[in-house]
Amino acid sequence: MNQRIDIDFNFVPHPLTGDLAVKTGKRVVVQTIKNVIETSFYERGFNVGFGTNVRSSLFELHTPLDKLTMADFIREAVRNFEPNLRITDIEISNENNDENTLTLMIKYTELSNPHIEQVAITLDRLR
Amino acid sequence: MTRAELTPTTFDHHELKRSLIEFLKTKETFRDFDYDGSAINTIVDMLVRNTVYDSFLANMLANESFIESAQIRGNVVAHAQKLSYVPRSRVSARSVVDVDIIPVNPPTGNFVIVADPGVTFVTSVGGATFTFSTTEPQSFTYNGATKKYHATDIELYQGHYLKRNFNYQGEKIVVPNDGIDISTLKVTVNDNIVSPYNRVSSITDMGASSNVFFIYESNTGEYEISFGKNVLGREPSVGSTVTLEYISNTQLHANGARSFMAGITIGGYSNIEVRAKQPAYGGMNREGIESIRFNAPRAYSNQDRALASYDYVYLITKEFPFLKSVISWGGEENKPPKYGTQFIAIIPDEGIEITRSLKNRIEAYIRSKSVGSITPKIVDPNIFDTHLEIKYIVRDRVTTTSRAVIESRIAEIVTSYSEDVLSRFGAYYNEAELSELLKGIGEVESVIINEKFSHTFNTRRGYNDRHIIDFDNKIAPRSVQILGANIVDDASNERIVDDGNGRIVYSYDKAGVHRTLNIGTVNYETGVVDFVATFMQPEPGLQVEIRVEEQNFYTRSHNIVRITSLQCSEFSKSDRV
Repeated sequence: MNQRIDIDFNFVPHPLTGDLAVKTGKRVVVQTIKNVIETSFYERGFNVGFGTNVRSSLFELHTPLDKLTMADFIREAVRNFEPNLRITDIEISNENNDENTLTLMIKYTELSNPHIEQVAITLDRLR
Repeated sequence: MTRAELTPTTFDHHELKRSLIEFLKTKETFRDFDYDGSAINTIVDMLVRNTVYDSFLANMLANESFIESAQIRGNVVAHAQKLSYVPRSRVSARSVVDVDIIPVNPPTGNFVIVADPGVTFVTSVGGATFTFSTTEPQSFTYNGATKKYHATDIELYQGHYLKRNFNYQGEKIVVPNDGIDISTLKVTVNDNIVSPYNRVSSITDMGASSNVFFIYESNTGEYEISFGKNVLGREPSVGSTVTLEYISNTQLHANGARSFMAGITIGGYSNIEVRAKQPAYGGMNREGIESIRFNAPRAYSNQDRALASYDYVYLITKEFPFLKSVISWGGEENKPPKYGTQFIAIIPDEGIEITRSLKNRIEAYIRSKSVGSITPKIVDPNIFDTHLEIKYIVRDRVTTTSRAVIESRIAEIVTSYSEDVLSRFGAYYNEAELSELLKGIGEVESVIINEKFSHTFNTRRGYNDRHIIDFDNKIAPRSVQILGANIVDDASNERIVDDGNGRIVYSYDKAGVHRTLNIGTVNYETGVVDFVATFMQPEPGLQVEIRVEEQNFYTRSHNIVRITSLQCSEFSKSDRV
C-alpha cells in the first residue's frame, strides 16, 4: 500500500528546494485527526457538517458526562471523515481548566495496521 | 498516466470537488495524497468554494447586464433609463369635487376666498381614513342667492401636498420622498426671476433656453431631478432656489371613495359641504420590476409618438395607468370605413363608464402624440350583457351546506368571472371555462348553464330610424327579440321577434285585429340584426336579446361582454327530460 502523503499545514518551504513541504506516514494521520477535531461545524463552506464542536466546549465546565459526550463526538467525526482510522480510546483532561485548555490523548489504529498509535492534541483558546 | 480534464461545467460544489480531485490524482505529485480529512482536502474545499463564488458572481454580473434578466431594481431601472423610460412612481387616487362654504353671517366685503394649494379633505374607505389635497390655488366665490361660497371642479389628489426648496449647486436634486407622485410634480426656479420648469417629454421640441427638467429614478430608488446644462434646456444659475411641489402618498389607495369632508377650515369657515362628482380612481403603487422590463423596450420602439394602433394603446395606458383595458384601431377597419380617424375605446378600472372630463383629457393627450393628419377619437365600448340561468346538481344529497350558501358561492364565482376575466377588450364568454369554475365548488357535481345575450341600443322617440346591431356571433334562429318596444299607439301584445327565416317581424293587436309587419332582417351567420322602426316609448334605449348558436360569445374590436344577471336554482326532477 502507498504510504499516506499530504501537504504540511504549516506551509513551511523545503529548506533545500524551496518547494512546499509534504508530510508522509504517521505524521499525515496525526495532522488529519487534528484537522477533523479542530475544525468547527459550519466552518467548512458547502460541507458544514465537517468537524466537531470540541473547540467551542473549551469554555464548558467539563464534568465527566461532558467528557464522555465530547469523546463520542470525536469518535463519530473520525468515523465519518477518516474511515481508514478506528479510535480505540480517548482521554480528555483539563488540568488547566482556568486557562480554558483541553488535552486530548487519542489512541487509534489504521485499518491496514493493527498497531495502536496515539496522538496528543492540546486545544487552547485563541485569545 | 490517466488523462483527466477539469469539467467546470457545473455549479454544483460536490461535482466540482470530485472533478478537481480526479484531476489532481492524475498528476504524479498529488497521486498518493489523502483526499478525505487531510490538509489538501481543506485546500480543495477552499478552491471549490472560490470557484462557486466566482461562478455566482459571473452569473450575477451577466444577468444584471441585461434588462431581460436583471433582478435588482436599480439595475433594471438603469437599463430602462438608457431607453429614456422613467418608471411610474406611486400614483395618487384622484377625484373631482364641488365645494360650498357656508358662512354663519353673509360677508360684508370679502366675496372671494382664495385658498392656497394644500387644502385637505378626508374620506374613509373600508374603515381606513385617507387624506386628499389640492395642488392648485382655489377661488371660492360668494353667491348671494344661495348664501354660500362656491367652487366647482376642484381636483383632489390622495396624499399630502408638500413644497420643498433647494439651493441649486449645479448638481442633481434628489427628491427626499419615496412616496412622491411624479405626475403631480411642479418645479419652479427662482434666480431673480421665478420661472416654472416643465418635465421633458421629447427633446425634439426644445432648445438650450427651454425651461425644462429631467427626472429619473436613481439606483437607490429615489427620484433625481437634473437640468439641461444649457444644451438640452436652460440650466439654473448656481445659488438659485429650486422649488418642488408635489403630492406624497402612502401605499394604501382610496380608490372608490365617494364622500369627502373638509380636513381644515377654509377662509376661517368650518361649515363646508363637499360633493364628489366622481368616485376616487387611479391610485396605484410604484411600477414593479416586471412591468418596467416589459414596458421600457416598448417605450423605446414607440418613440413617444402615436403611429400604429399599439402606439395609441401603449401611450394611453402609460399616461393613464389606472385604465383597465384600452383598444385602438384605424377607421379603415370600420364598416363603412372612416379614413383619417384612429378610434380608441377605453374601460376604466372602476366601473364600466368613463367620465366626460377624463375622456377629454385622454383625447387631448393622445392628439398631442398623433402624427400626420390622423384624428384620434374616443368611442364608447360596445357592451353585450349576458343573462345566465344556472341549474346545479349537488354532489352529495345529504350535504349539510344549505342551498342558499351554495347559490351565494355560485354568485360570487360568476361575479368574479365577469369582473376579472370578462369586461375587458379581447376577452370572450366561455361556457366551459365558467362551468369548470363552478364545479370547483365542492358540493356542486355539475351545472347546466343557459345564457342569453343582449345589447342596449339608443332610440329616439318618434323618429323612423334604422338600427344595425352586430353581435358578431352566430345567432340561433327564433331567438331574437326586442323587449319593451312600443311602435303603434293603443296597440297591445306588441312583439318584435325573428321568424326563423331571417326576417324581423313586428306583431301587435289593435281594435281586435292581429297584424304582422316585416321590419327588418337578421343574418344568423354574421350575427347582424338590421331593422327600421319608429319607437314611441320614452328614450333612451331598448334591449335586443338573442341566443347564440355556439356556447361561447366571442368579442372583437371594441366589443366587450359582461354578465349582468343570474338566476340560480337546483336541478329538479321536473327539469329532467
